[in-house]
Amino acid sequence: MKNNGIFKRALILVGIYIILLGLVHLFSFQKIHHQYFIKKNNFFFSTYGNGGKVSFLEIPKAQQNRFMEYDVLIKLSSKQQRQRAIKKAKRERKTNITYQPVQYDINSWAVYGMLYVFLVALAIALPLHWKNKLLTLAGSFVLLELFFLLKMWVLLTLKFSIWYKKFEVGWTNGFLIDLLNYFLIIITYPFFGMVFIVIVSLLFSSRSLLVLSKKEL
Amino acid sequence: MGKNKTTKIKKSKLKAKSLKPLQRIKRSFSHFYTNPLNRVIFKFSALLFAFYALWISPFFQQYIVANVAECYAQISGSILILLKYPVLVAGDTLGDINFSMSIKNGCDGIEAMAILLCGILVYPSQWKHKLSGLIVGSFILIFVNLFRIISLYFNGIYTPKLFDFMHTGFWQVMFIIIPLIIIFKWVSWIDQSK
Repeated sequence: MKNNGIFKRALILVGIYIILLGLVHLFSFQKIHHQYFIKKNNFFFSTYGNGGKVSFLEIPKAQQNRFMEYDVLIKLSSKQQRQRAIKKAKRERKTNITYQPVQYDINSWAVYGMLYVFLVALAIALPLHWKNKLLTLAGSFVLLELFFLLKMWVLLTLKFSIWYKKFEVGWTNGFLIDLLNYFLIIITYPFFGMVFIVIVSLLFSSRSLLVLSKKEL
Repeated sequence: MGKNKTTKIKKSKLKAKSLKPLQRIKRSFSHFYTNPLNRVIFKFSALLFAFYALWISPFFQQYIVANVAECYAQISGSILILLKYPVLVAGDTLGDINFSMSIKNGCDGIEAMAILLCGILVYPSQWKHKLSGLIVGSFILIFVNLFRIISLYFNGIYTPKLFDFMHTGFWQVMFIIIPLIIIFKWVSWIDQSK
């Protein structure tokens, strides 16, 4: 790439990224992403492992002030937990059963959604032919979705494992749980996600970029 | 000549078709790896992964991340005091009655420094060139990070609505782009000096 080319490309990337963020704000894309996030995760993770049950929900309006920046509530429960509650109710001759699910809140836009915008901006800013831009975008998008699924699976595995006594679902090996916790801390940061996107996009476009750099040399 | 080339391509396609799926995957992976840019990216990713393994360790968090954050808070606090903004600094937190902020993981510029370090280490060059790239690049990143912290403080005071966007939206992206620019500039400087 020519000496000033990298500055030009960086400026284009930042410019497109800011414009896209503006458009996202203007057309309420955050709300669309919020719905997509809930539907996608309910589809993939509504049942987890051996009896785990997960629901991704909107934060109830009454609780919205308490959760402030969060927009999705994750409720964890399990078949085993429910069966124990039924047994207990039978023993105590009660007609109703009560059991407490574990709840977590998440900011779906900051941790997941913003990365889509960065990916689109990067794909547009890369010095490639439009066809290659689209291929890079499509390939990176698939890998990003897989990365998001992995991220969610790690989060759920860790939460179920922490509450193993309650759910009887998840991992029991302390060392593996610690390892998973460390892994989750790393991949949770949006910064890691952005580095992941840069690496994946460069891998998808490396052949075209190499041809381009040889031409410029 | 042209005919020869087409028959060669046809032959290699036929050969690829006759391979077993596992061999085909192995072959396409080796093709993928022979691309010099892919090789550099693989090495870069492996190094970055090693960095994250170190970064997450309690030792690194306690003795390096915490001290770097406090150092940034102290220097930014001193600059703000010089600019006649009477802020107080306690540990990694700086601010006044109106606004205060903490410098936590991700705001300390360590990951950007790691991108720079990994990028410079994987590119084949002399050690003296690597060292000079690292020193100059680190100074630029430290300077930009101080600018980020001070500008975020001003955002917090004068444009609080913009704070979240600048903090998570803008500066995070900048801290991926800036080390990459430094690496590209360093590579072109090395090529020119050759």
